[in-house]
Amino acid sequence: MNNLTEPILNRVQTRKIPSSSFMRSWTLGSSHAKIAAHYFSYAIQKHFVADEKKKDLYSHFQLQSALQLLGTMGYLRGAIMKVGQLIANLPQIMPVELVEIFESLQFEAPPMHYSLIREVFLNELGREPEEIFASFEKNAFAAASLGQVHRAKLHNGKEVAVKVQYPNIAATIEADIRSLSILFQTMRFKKDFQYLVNHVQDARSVFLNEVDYLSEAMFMEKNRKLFAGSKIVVLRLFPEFTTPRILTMEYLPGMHLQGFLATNPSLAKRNHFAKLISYSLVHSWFCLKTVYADLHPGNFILMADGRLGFIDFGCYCQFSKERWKLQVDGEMAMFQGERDRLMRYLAKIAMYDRPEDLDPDWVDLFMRQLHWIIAPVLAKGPFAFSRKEYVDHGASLLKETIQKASAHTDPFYNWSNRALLGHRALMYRLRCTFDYSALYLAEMKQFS
Amino acid sequence: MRITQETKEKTRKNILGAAEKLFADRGFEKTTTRDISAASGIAKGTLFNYFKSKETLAMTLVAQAMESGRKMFLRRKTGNEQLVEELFLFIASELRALKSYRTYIGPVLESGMSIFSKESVCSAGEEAKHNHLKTIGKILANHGFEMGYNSIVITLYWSLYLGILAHWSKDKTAKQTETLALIDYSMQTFANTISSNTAVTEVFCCNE
Repeated sequence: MNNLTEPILNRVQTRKIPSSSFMRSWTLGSSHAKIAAHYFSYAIQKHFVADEKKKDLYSHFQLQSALQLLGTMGYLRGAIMKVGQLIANLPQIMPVELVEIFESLQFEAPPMHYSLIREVFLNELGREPEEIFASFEKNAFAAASLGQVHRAKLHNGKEVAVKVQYPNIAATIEADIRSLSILFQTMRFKKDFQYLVNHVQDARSVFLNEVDYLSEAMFMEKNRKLFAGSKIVVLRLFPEFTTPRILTMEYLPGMHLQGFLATNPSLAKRNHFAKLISYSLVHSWFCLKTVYADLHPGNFILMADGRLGFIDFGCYCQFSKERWKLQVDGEMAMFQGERDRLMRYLAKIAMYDRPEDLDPDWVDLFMRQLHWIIAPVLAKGPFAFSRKEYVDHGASLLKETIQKASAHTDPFYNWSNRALLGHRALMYRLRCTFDYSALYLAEMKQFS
Repeated sequence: MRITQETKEKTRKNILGAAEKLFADRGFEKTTTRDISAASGIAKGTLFNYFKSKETLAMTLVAQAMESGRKMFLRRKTGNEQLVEELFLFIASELRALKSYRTYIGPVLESGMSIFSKESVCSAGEEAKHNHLKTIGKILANHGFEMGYNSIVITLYWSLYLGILAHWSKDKTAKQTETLALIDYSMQTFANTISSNTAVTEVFCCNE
């Protein structure tokens, strides 16, 4: 926690989750209003100051806004907080100072006090933490979007990490979604309104699935088997101390990305972890046919012995048989340059019956985006993920996509797109250069 | 025949035990004083020598549970809790002890601890309230806040506490987790109010 974020975090610690839709809308609305006011004040002031001072002023404005939003998101703690995490994954859209502040949200959400933790334990496991564990650290060592993580020791001496969920978090997510739906009502006469509703409902089901730690435990176990014997470490679970609201897993020592980068690691080390992160994503994509949709730095532990800890499996989506077939078909068409087949894929993604119904502007943007996404695969050799032209091009495409804001797409596409953008953002942060193409194509050949 | 104090106490316990069972089996509303007398093996008139009404009887059960909740709190307390944490622990322990009375605590409290009457119509309710607030007074004093029993701070606390009980009695979430969030939020608000936490406003005034 730094000097700037501390007062805000202290402030939000004195608040609690407002579960009702109205209260949450009001809080969020007031925070947006404050950010808008900051921006307005910057816009006026910048006309009256010298150029070098403008830069300082802009940074000051950004910092104020980030702190305001950080305070609000910590307070809201529901799906809105997940939006904050998503923003942190897009460094080109957000200046670096803000990315770092948003990133702190992933680790420094306002904590639950120990009396509250004890009640969650009594409700979930029928016993107090001290009765279950040989020792239990009262202060959390990490915050997750839906809870916080405590270190503990089992009676056999094994060190564990215990994730405890905020009480009533599902209701806060439901309240967020309701607020969002109320805001969307103003757009109900737009032609794509129903598609927008589908996206919101899809997000709701994925986020609510994340609330169930047993579902996360199941997916974690699948991945543990998948990566057994590799340099990817998936935590071992302790089912006897795991419930829908408490997840007990082995403790993994190591650093998060931010800490790792602060040690000024060599290119070889950065490439090493970049390859492992990519492998974890691509391998589980092809083998388990799942999209790991929450690819943010807080979900990885970079270990001193060179292994990568993959530690959070809450937010994932499973391809249906039909959707997987469509995905494979689309990818083959992309790599083989078969335009007609690709257009048929696009029509399905955009939920049209025939390629002729597609909006040509949307197709144009989609194709440019696709080329950006597959560029590392087509490179057929080492690819520099932090190359300025590549990053700038991706950022401008993303801005264009947001401006165009087409809801006329298959909701599943959001998650795969989110995973890919999350991956590229992590690669950018690692400033890595490696043969991603070889890694991807080997996996694709083996499992498609 | 002269009834000894011991016999009186035994009969009283019998009535309370029978009432508790009947309330749990049939529900508070559907249980009559006639049912309770019959289950206790006494005449209906005798019941009223011990308890003025069904509500008073239920309030006595609630008061006993509140007392065991207070004892549970004292056992669980480590002495290292912050103010909010300690207040939370006290209320949560009490609710845990009151669990089997949750569904009918509303009408019972209405007659036994009404917020509208200065003096409770039920001595058991009055005693339970007194003991509860005495514990709150001690917790506050431990954290440097000396408050008189009739101070406005204690009245504020009591309003919040009854609000929590009212919410809890109707809480449909699994294991009443919504109430946990409400206790925490209410106690944070209470602690902020009594400590006149103005630091927040200052931070934002400086920023803006």
